[in-house]
Amino acid sequence: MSWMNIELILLIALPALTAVIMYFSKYFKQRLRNFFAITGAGIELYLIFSLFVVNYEAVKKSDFFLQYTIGYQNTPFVINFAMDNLSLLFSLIVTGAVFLIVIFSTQYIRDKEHRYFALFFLVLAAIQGSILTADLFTLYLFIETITIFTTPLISFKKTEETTRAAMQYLFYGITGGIFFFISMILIYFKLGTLKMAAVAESFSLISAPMQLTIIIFFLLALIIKLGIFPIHFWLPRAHSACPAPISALLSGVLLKVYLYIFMRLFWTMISFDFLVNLHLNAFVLDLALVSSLIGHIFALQADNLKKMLAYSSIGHIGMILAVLMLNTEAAFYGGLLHIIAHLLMKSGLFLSSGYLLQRTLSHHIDDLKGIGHKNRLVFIAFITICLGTIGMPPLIGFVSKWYVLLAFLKARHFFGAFVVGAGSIIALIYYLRYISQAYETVKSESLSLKEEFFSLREIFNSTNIMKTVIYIFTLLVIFFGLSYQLFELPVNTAIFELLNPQKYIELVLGG
Amino acid sequence: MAVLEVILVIFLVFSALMAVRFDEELISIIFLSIFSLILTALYLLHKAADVALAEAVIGAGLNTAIFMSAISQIRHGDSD
Amino acid sequence: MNKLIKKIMSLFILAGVTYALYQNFSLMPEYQGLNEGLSSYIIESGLNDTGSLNLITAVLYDYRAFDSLGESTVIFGAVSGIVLILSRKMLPVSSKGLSFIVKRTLGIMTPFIALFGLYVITHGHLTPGGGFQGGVILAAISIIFSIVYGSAFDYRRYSPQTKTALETGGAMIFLGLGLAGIILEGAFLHNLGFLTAETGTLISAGSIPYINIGVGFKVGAGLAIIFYSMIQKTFEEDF
Repeated sequence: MSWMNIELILLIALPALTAVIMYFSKYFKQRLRNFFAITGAGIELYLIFSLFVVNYEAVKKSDFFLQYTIGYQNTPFVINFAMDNLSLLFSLIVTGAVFLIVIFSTQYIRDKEHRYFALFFLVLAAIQGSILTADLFTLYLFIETITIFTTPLISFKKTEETTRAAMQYLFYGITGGIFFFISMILIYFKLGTLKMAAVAESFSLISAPMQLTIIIFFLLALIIKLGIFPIHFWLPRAHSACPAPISALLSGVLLKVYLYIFMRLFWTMISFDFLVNLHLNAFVLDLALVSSLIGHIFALQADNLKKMLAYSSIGHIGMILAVLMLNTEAAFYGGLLHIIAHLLMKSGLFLSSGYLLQRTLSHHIDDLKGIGHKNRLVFIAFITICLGTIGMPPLIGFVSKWYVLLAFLKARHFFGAFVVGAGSIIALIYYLRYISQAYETVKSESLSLKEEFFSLREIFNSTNIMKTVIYIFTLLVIFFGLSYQLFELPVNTAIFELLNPQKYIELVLGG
Repeated sequence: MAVLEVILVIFLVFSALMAVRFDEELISIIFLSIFSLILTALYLLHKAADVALAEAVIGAGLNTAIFMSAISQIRHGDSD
Repeated sequence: MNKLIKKIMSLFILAGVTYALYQNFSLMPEYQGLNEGLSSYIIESGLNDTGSLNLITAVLYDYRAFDSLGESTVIFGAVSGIVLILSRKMLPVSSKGLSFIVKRTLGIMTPFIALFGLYVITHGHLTPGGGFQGGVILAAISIIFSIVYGSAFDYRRYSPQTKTALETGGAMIFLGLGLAGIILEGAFLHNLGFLTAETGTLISAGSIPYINIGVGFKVGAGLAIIFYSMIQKTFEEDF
């Protein structure tokens, strides 16, 4: 049967199984535990990659579609999992980034690893579930799961600051979840179904004021989760308090998952025309642009390296959301490309900041003096990725920002184009502050660049594994910047999915 | 039946208000567990036995115990 | 004066929110039974499909078993997180417990509570209740032990290691039944047809009772661990 694809459920069950194994790994030796963690993430990556390779022809013709149904056939309340080109793209990039983060954190986390990895893999399972599901209730379940599982990871270090950040994160996450839940209940009472495809088919039957209520509550929930301007203050605290791999997970991966949910809800389930009819698209666009500007400006005054990176995340996410709200093909191209670019760059930046800050007194800017002399090659990688986020030509950040800018200019939305340019210039200033601080003169002797480069051979030394992961991210940023055409096929097919939600609806309901 | 339901709903709202009103945490928790008990009775009136059992066990039993232990933690004043 | 203004402001905001919510929810349709015939479908053919007399259990552990799996995973993660945040290295020193009368009385009552918990778990597909409710009742026993007899007694009887093993065992049962569904019936978490006697007896309804047992142990052990890790420090200072 072509509509029963067992791989989809394995994509969710495998990380959950790994989590249970890791929970018991207190009694294992450290090497065995690391082996299990890397294997779990590796099998996941292999699974999703083989899905892509096997179905390459179908992806090319953009009629790729996998589906899995739990429950009895012909009953009105089965649980559906569906994977189309959009979910394939997101699942692929998310799993790739998570695989590298897992390798990094096997060396970075030094105590209570078994609980750390159990929670980490549960988060991965929930991320895959929320990408693949085609049912509103299951989506709600997975969103809540992500919030609950990341909270203890944020307060992993158990200081007063991290606890406060975690409590705030939990509060705002649950509040966003409640708004989501209200919308979901209203839809259920109105239509009697929670299948996204069935809701999409009959959403126009709901009376106009009720449509407005539902859409506004969904928007509120996702704006809270994405950290857009009026409710953004929890994000820098939460994203800077946790250990570096978790920062990379939250800022690099999770925000993209929420963007995916945003697209799923407002393009596939609720058609974008409803937003246009209610004049909400222009409002959200302006809000996102203001949020982008404010994120960049706040990053200027942040005296903490990780906080600065988190504020810059707000800026980039606002820009992506704004360009998606333009609802043109060029805008989707720029937006999706920038999602990929930002995922790579922000994960790399947070990981390298975690490596650099291992031996400093604090994360404050004054304690970073001379850090560039001590770890030369890592800091060069850091600077390279920074240049990528600013938008230097050979790197992937340039390509994606270029297409975003083009989309704004094509739509004749000049404020958006201004925000993209201004964001880049402000970003240049705040990165330069840190880079100049890092090259302040210090007394201690330092390894020469050549020596450090040749020490790369000792790759199984623990710090070298961390360094290698950072170099991989840097090389990816450079490589994809030169050959961004590789993404042309998956991104274009994903755009096809966004512009033709009818295909998704028919295939889910027909299966 | 309808009279009983109205009385129960009034008590429900009353206990919810009282739980918010008092500054003393202990009294708030007692009122919360009373709230759960009344809710259990209401569920039973509407013939939802499963939900009533869950509410009685979790709302009135377990929640109270966990809240109590949290309070004793606060009163001892360790912020570890 | 300032306080008065604050109070009046909050009252106004409260009234505004109430009005807005009332306006929104007055748009909701009159309750006329859910359309699409969801509930009528379950009432008609739920027993046929699943063999479970308790239709709520049928929905929870058969039709929407995946959502229940997700929910029990939430408990698993919450326990892991709470222990991660609250765990301390030292062994807790127990309180002396309550008076002699309470100890004797609960010594007589506790076996019956345990029996009731097990009954609720195993008869989940026949009578109201199920794995979740029964598991919480079992967790209450552990709570009674720590309050009445002191937490050292609870520690000696059911050490945290045992509870952890029970919890992960429950999770494994649930996941294993799901994977067995793939192998035997061709779908994840599909109801297994083995060991089905006539409906209404204890051994019926396919794999629902076994899922109930798994969820029961998982929830009970998980909540007991949460309570245990919350009281650790307190009793040490009591002594």
